[in-house]
Amino acid sequence: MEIPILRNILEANDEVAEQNTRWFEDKGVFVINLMASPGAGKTSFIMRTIENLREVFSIAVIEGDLASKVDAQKISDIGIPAVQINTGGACHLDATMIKNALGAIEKDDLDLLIIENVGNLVCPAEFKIGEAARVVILSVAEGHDKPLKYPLIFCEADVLIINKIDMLALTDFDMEEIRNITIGMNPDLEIFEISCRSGEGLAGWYDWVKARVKP
Amino acid sequence: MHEFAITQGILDVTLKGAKEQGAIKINTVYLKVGAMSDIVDDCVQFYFEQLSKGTIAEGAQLQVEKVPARAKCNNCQAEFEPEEFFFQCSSCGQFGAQIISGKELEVSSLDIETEP
Repeated sequence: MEIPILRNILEANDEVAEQNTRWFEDKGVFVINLMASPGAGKTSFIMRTIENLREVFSIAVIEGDLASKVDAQKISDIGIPAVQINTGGACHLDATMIKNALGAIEKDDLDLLIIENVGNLVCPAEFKIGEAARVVILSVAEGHDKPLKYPLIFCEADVLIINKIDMLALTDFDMEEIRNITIGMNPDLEIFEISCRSGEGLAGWYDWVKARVKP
Repeated sequence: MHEFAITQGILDVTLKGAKEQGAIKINTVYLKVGAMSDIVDDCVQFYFEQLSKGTIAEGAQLQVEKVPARAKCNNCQAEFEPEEFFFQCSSCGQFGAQIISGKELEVSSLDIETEP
């Protein structure tokens, strides 16, 4: 006999993500889910954000990688609480991993939590983790056509950070073209053109954060 | 799409729903997959065969109904079929729309056997 089910396949993850969202809202924590390919500049971007905003906000970081504590160590070395999640084989963070990591964050009165997702433009887009904002980094070395090739993550993003603009002259990256592509996918997408290396363009990003995080 | 995690999700929802109805065997799992969700059917079928071993879902077939993407223009409210995640209204040319269908990823129904 046929029985109706009508249930979302990812309901288990979405339910935990909802729990995470409520926990963060109750505690007044603004959570950023930071996603990008490996090497696009996620950790450097976090370091720049911390450097500029640590006097204003109480910040912690959750790092997601298949293996190693390299990234969490970089954050800890500058005196910011960092929890490293090693996923083993999983290519994305999910809501349960985040829920399990929350107890390890040693910071009272947290204002801003940055979650550095596993380096991947495919899978992280599928899994809500309880974030308030989804920020995607694309470096100019990767090419302006990546939104066409990996549409979901760019459709779901709130912010697109175009990093390594100090290298523009060395690439064929077309800034106007990527804006033409993304306006059709996601017209509300906020785009910041930056260089983590030189610091150029980051002021706009810091203002974006300050407008949303409550100290 | 991450097919392993998706398949685990399919199995979990399937077994939960089947248990609620007192099923002793699951013959078919009917899935609804939107064009913007998209899964690689062969991958999911393979993982399902492995993960369902020893459960009442072992041997069940997966049937996928594909749902096309449809969007409603934020500007003129016209409905259109976006091409390849590109949400430009075919009526007024403005960008920006609400997604009406195309993001589904659900178990819609099961064909089960219960105690005679």
